Amino acid sequence: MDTDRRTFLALGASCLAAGMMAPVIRVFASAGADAQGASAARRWGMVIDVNKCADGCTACVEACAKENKSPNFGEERINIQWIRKAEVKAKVPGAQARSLPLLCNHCENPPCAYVCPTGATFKRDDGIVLVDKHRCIGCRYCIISCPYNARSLVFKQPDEVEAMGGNPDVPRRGKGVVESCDFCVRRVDAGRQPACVEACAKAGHRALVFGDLRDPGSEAARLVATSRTQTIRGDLGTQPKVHYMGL
Amino acid sequence: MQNANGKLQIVKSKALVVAVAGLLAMGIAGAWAAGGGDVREKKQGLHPPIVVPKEGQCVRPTEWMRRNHMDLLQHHKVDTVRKGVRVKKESFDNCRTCHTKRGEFCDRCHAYAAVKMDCFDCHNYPK
Repeated sequence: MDTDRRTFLALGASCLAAGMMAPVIRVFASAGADAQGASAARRWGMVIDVNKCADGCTACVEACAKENKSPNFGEERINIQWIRKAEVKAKVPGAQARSLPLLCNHCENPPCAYVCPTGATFKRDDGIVLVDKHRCIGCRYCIISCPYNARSLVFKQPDEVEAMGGNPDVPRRGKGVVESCDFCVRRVDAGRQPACVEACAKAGHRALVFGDLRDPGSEAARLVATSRTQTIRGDLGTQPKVHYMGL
Repeated sequence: MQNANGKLQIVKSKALVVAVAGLLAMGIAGAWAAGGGDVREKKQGLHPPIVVPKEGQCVRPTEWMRRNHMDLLQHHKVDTVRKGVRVKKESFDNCRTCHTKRGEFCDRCHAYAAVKMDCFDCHNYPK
């Protein structure tokens, strides 16, 4: 076969161009509806209206335990708790005690992720702070660093909870890894609301509002923009994404 | 000198013959042992059949999956946990539609190959 210089060069150039195009085509091909993953255009957050949160109501705590199969070991010290109810009282005479839920604040600057020596704790592109349990070595550095006391270590394998069944989507607990609220990330990825938010609405309080804080159309973003909201220990610079109204 | 040289050559050729014979014997023995190994394997049932109850096409060619399924799982694990990419077609849940029983699929081959997997220490094989 005779190949002149011109044909040879043209062939080479087209091969090079095809090679450079291949990754681009791959990017487009992988951008399917279910393959996009967490988008940086979103910031999931929560607004908690303390005035609507009823004293003694633990619907959110129970729903969370059920959804995430949190065991009750009967020992406060080792119980795994992603959300808990707390009574707070202002340090002024005659102030009334308020009941409110406390959970992982999914900080914009998460100290837990910064101190994690293995990179197990990280902030996803859409702002949810997660523990990659495959990488966690259970050093508990994050528990110490968290100003909100939002994390728990799994001290033992809760077999009795597994025997009870529960949510099959949620993996078993590995002993010796740290956990915290993940905003029910499986539900969020499926376009649903976290279990606590659903339970609160079901109980008729609607104190918890979950949504995309970067989407001006979402109720959560609207509440943050128009109402007087506060974050817990905002002075620390962690920039929590759980906002409280009516504190 | 010449005699001695000739003797040396004879010794050399003898050594060569012995070496070739030895190699041949080893080859035959090896082939026999390998053949025997196969038979023994089947007889003792060390490699029980991998059961795939439903016919169909896997997400990758079977040959590829045999060697590389761990890389695929690892890759998806990282993508799912850290990037939130949830591809239903290549999810664990979808594996289950063909490989219905973990015991007859994952466990059987892993027991044979003596490779410990720790996926199911935490994850449920979807039912």
